[in-house]
Parts: sequence; structure tokens; C-alpha cells
Amino acid sequence: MKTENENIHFDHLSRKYPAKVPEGYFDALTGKVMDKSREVNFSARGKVSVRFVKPAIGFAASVLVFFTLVFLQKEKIFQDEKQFNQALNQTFDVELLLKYHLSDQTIFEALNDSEADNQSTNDSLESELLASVSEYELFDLTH
Amino acid sequence: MSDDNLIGRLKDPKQKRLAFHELVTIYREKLYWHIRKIVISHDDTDDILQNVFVKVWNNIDTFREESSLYTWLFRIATNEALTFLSKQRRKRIFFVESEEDYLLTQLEADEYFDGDEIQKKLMCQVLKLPKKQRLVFNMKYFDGMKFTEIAEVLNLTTGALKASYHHACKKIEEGLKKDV
Repeated sequence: MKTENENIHFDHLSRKYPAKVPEGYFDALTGKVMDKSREVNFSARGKVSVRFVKPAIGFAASVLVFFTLVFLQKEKIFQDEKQFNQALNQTFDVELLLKYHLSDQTIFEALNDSEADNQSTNDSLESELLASVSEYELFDLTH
Repeated sequence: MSDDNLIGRLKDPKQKRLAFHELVTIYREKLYWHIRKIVISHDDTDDILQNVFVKVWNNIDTFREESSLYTWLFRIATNEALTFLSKQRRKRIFFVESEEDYLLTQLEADEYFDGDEIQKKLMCQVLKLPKKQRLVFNMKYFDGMKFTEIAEVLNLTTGALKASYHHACKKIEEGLKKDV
């Protein structure tokens, strides 16, 4: 069975990473990291209040926005309703006026029509009577 | 002292600080060299390592112990180091310099590098590897980690890791032959 390093022909080179660190670096690092974690703790305490205040502010703001929207919408609805009623009333008035106006107009026209019809009936009757009478009879009648 | 005991004390508010001090002392060197091999520069490694420990301090309560403490720490360190490199890449977006060139420059400028000429050549070849292969190579070759351990840290299968390591070795070997 092949070993993992069988194909490595540079295996004679040191497997130690060829670099160093400044003297006392690791000891100092522990101190630095501990200080940082302490700083994080302090800033986290400040953040705790922000962590609770932020959502509360957000919630209050969203409630405010919600009620404002509802109020505005309500106002708009009522305003629309008023406008609608006004428009409806106006329409009703116009319709009523038109209706009565139309009725009057219809009666007037009907009356006119009947008069016109009578007139035409009289004229046609007269012309028919005249047509049935000869010129001679007409002369006798006139003299 | 076992990791289980240490985790238990880290999760206990009364013992947390002392246990954390122990954790830093135990793992500082292993994590330092792991990060250093990824980012090369000592100063960058120092910043990243401190961030890693701060993350551990902040998140120890959320550690579910599904993996070992060692694996968890290495995973955080790897992620932090890779995130650092990604940020560096974004900063260099207006420059033509690739990540490989950036790391080679870091190696050249590293005042704490103390390898000889052949070791420097080896490091140059390692830095030319793709990120994943480089990680695997570092963990296997320099840290002597088992494939199963690397698999846990990098969340990869051992088969994929073995293939990756094999390719990395071949590339380095070819690179060294050309370089000589």
C-alpha cells in the first residue's frame, strides 16, 4: 500500500514552517486577548441596553405608523363617503330634475303632437271633401 | 485537561474568564501558525488571531459541541484568514496584483521569515497553489494533521483531500524542478 508521502520528492526539506515570531509574542498575546475580551464585555453591557431599547423603539414606531395609517385611511374613507353621498345626492337631484323636466317635456310634446295631428286630420278631411265635389257643384255652391 | 471539561467551564459565567485564559494558552501557537501560513505576514496574523479569540469568547455559548473544540477553533481561524484575504483582494481591485503576487510580496517583506534559499523556493511554490490546495498542503505537510482532521475542519471528504494534496505535491515538485 502506498504511503501518503511516497510521491513527495521534496520530503527531505524541513517540515517546520520557516518563520519565527517576535520574542515574547505568545505571552503578550494572551494578555492582549484577555484585555480585548474585557473590552468586548464592557461594550456588550452598553449594547445590552441598546439591544433591548432598539426593539422597543422599533415596536413603538411601527405601532405609531400603523395607527397613523389606519387613522389616515379612516379619514380618507369617510371623506370619500361624504364625497360619495354628496355626489349621490347631486346625481339624485339631477335625475329628479331631469325626470320631471322630461315628463313636462313629454307632456308638452304630446300635446303639440295631438294638436298637430288634429290639424293634419282637418286638413286631410277638407281636401278629401273638396276632391269629392265636382267643379260645377263647387261653382253652384259658391254662387 | 479534556476539551469537554474546558468547554463546560467556558460556558459557566463564573469560570469563563479563567477557562478562556487556559484556552488561549493551549491553542494560541497552533492557531497562530495555521493563520500565518495562510496570510504570511506576522502583523496580519496577529490581528486575525486576536479576532478569532474574541469570536470564541463571544460565541462559546452557541458552540453545540457537534465537532471537537480543536476543529471548531481551526474552522473559525481558517474562515477569518480566508475572509481577510478576500477583503485584501477587494482592496486591490484597482491594481493588477493577484493574490499570489500579493502573498509573494508579503513573503519577501516578512522580516520574521528565517528559512534558507531552498525553503524560500518551496514557500514560493506553495503560494502559487490554488487556495484550497494550499490549505490542504499546509495542514498536511507542515502541521502533520490527519486527513480525517483536515476533512472536519474544511468540511470536505478525505478522498477529495487526498487528491488535492497529491495534485499540490506534484505542482510543487514540478515548480521546484523548473526553478533549479
